[in-house]
Amino acid sequence: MKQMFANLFLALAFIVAHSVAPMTSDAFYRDPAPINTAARPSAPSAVVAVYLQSPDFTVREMKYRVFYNKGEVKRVPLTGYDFKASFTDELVNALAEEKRMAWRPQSANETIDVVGLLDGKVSPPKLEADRLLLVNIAEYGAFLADLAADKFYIMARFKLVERATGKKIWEKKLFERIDLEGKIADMQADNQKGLKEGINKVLEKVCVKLVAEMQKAKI
Amino acid sequence: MKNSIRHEVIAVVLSLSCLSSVWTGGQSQAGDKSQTPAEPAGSLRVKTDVPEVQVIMDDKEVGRTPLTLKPVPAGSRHLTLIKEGYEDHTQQVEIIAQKTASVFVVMKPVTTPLPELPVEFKVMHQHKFGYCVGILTVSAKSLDYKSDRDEDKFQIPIQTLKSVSRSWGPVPGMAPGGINAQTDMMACRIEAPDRAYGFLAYKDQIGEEMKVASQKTKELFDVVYRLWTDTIKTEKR
Repeated sequence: MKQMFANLFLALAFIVAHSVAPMTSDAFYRDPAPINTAARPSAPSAVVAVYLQSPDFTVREMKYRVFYNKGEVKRVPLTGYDFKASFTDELVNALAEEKRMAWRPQSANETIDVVGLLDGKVSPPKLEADRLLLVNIAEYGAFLADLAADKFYIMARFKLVERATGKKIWEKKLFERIDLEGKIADMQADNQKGLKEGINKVLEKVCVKLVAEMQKAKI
Repeated sequence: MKNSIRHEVIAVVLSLSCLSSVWTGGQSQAGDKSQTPAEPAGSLRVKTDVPEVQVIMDDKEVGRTPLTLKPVPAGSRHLTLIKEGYEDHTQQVEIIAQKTASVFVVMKPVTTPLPELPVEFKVMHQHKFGYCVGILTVSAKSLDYKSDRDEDKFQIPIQTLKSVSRSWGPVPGMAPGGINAQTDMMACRIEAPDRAYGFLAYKDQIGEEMKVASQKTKELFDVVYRLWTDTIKTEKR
């Protein structure tokens, strides 16, 4: 009888040693998928909706004359480069630093009238989000002038609104630029390498600045 | 009797070992990594002009662009970017601990053939006031225009072009506004050293639908732009 109890105890001890102990380790609880530490579960969710007025690279050229100036707007389509998608991705990536909200880009099946909402002409659509960050990119491109340094630039307006009411929480307009080194014509060689790299730098600058401005604001 | 005592002793020893294992949280099974100091790591952001480019880091596929990798062990990493229709791109990236390295790559397309040259386009040639109608012949070396009524005829060598864009042309004034519109509606504007030219291409007749005409103008722009950018490449080499 005693031997039977001893054997039973032995078996139990064996089972406990191999099943309970691993559960107490950290490794057991580690989720194989990456854990989203960007925001606490209680942080309000926000959708980033971007509207781009022209998908093409804009060259604004100013030619000064003695009695008058001549301005010209030129468009250069960027082959294979989706500026809107790149901007949205960069912005959402940068906004991960702003941990007061859980950010996500607008999904393909969500329709958001960014311009209408920015002007307060329409009410926000029904979405699974607490807030909307509306982005209207008025223009991106290069500014060329005889009497000033050439620049790459992005002009954009940002507005954070309540999803339910459309009420403005925060707003910012940014006009960011960096020096354009070299000739705009040469930048169009090698699949427009110079243009794309230049505008990517401004794009990164805009996103970093926006997040810094937002972090300063009491939202 | 001796046997049962021996079993009891084994049972006690096992249960004690089990308890100690529970108490220490099974750390011996969790791995000894926690014992050694963590490897310094940073992060890497990889972007390309075209989306969905396959990213291979140190001979291991890590995802598709745009992507952010973290943690990436500090040090020099070998990156290879692959997409069908483009040349493979390779480069070294230095990862610094606690910092994000960013890489933006413009992928080089495998050269696509141009339409058979010379190619003719029916165009409206914009004047300062009004326009004339004629044929623009695009060849590898030049653009040759001849109006229907023979009142206008010129040749523009592609090598000499200063820019090729979509535009309505310059507008005198104080601000660099010009006439703004959707790119599709704009003319194909070709700047030569002495003057600039504007062309609107059409398929059959001048009064045809805007979308048909704008498609033909886009085709004209694409060919001329490609020929011009190829000359920039050649000059640089």
